Amino acid sequence: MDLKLLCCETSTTENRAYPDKVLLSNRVLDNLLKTEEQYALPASFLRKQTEVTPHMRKIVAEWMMEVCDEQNCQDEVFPLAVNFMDRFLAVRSISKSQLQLLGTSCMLIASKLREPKPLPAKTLVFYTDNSITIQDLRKCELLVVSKLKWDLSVVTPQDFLPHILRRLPIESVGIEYNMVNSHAKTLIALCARDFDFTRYLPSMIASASVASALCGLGWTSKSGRTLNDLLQILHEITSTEQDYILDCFKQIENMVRLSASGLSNPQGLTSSDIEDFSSCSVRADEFTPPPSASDKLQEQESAGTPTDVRDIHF
Amino acid sequence: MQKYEKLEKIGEGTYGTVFKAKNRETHEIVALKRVRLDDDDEGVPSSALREICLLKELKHKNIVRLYDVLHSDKKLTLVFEHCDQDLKKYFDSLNGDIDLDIVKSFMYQLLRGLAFCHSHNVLHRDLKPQNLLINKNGELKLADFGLARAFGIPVKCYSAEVVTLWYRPPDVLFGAKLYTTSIDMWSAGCIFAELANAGRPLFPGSDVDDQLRRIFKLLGTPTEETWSGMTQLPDYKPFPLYQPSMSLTQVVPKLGSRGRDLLQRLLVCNPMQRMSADDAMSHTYFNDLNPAIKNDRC
Repeated sequence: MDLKLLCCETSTTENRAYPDKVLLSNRVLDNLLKTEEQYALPASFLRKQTEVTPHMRKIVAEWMMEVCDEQNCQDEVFPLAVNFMDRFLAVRSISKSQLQLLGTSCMLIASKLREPKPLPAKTLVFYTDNSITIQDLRKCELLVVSKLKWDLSVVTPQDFLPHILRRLPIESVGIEYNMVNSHAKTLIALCARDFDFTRYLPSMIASASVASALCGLGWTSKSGRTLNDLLQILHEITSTEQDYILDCFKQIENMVRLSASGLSNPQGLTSSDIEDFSSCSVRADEFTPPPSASDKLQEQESAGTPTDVRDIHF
Repeated sequence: MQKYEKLEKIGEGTYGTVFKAKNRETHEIVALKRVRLDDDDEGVPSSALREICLLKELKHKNIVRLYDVLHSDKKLTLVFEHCDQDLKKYFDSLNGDIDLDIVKSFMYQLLRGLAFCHSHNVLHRDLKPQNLLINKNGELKLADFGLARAFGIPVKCYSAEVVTLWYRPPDVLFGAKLYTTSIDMWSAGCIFAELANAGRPLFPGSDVDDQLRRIFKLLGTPTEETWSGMTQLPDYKPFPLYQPSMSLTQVVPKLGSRGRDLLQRLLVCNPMQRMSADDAMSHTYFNDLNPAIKNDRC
């Protein structure tokens, strides 16, 4: 009798496993922390580019986020795709007309790695308004994976979330675990979109997003502890210096405030421009906007082709 | 493909043909896995993409080493370390008799490879004798990561029922899509028994029902008491309440009491209670393992 390989895949249901002790152990967290550095971006990674600017990168990243959102991709697909795109931009100069093709290829690769059913090439081409062909996409895919030397097992901020959350006092102070989890995920997606956050490691973005989510949910008043206490615990979990987490935290708070007030993110604003956060402000529970809602605040309403980066000739 | 001289076809992997080949410069023997990139498909197959990037990450003595990836527009070539044979072929050469020290050594190496994968967030998901390679020095290596998966936690539904039927745990047979490291541990248990019996499969089921019946007849049908949540699984259906019919002494007559104890801790229907790879490595069964194998750090 032959060995059988059945595959009765259903992609619509998303089941969550019971917590796996093995996968939540310190050893796994240590390995994640060790691995993330391998995929960190070099400082000023856009230096190689003559045409592509941080602003264009952001437009394409926003478009990618919408595509991933509309296609109900797993949370990690979008940050993963952006990591591939940024690392590619760090090693190879491209024209601005190729940027969308690059972003599309990166989504294709990321979805193959993390989706039970990867995004079909055809669907992706459709999202570019057919400005690229499947052949372009396949060629670019190979170019990206080879330029990245097939180093694609990237650690994303999402990978750290369960490790961080299970080590924090959350439900014990009366905050719902799922609520923090989903707020933090939203913040992580918003960070991946934004060029200013490319200097942080995934563990820092995860830590700061959790801190911001918890503050938004009133962690300090509910636990009777300060923001500094929270940062200290996060530091103990991830061994990241508190200053870095605080910097990233401030930047996230600022990003959220700006998008809430309807402004698009002004250029050149850094954390030093932001007043000191001695304690974190309490936001309404529903405040952290889901990606789609926040996008409504931006100029683009649908995942159409950003006009800046149309007309791809590869 | 000037760098390598093709010698012979070894077999078909999950997504491509495998050849034995020689590096023309160094004369090193390697295994080449050829993946065709057809014009009308989705580009690089996701199984190849996953295997490449996972194996680049997983450098360990008990995991097959990926040396290089060569590509053209039309095909990808993965260059692997070459092993002499897989465990299935090794079984075929045994004529029903195996040295118990080899059983222990292979089992330990399998667990060590798995523990490494699991500590790096990787599930193999398709363990079977054909995917375990062995070489002349008695080293065992996990191979064929085409279905493996690196993932964030909580583990999501990846794809149901990917493990070859015979090595598939009851939770997956009942349609659980909640994959955790326990899936590999069940397979490891089945392989352990197969090793001890010199290649006779433990549960050679012909379909899902037959597979479950074989498991329950040996281990006893689990109940909601021994395995809470079982009846809620998507494909759950009641089975007769078999009582364990045979003792493990009859199932694996050559294995000593410690080995049977380890087997019993791996072959647990409730995935929550299945032993982890790390714990299994510390089991007393391995107390008298050849220190050369145990200390063979990687």
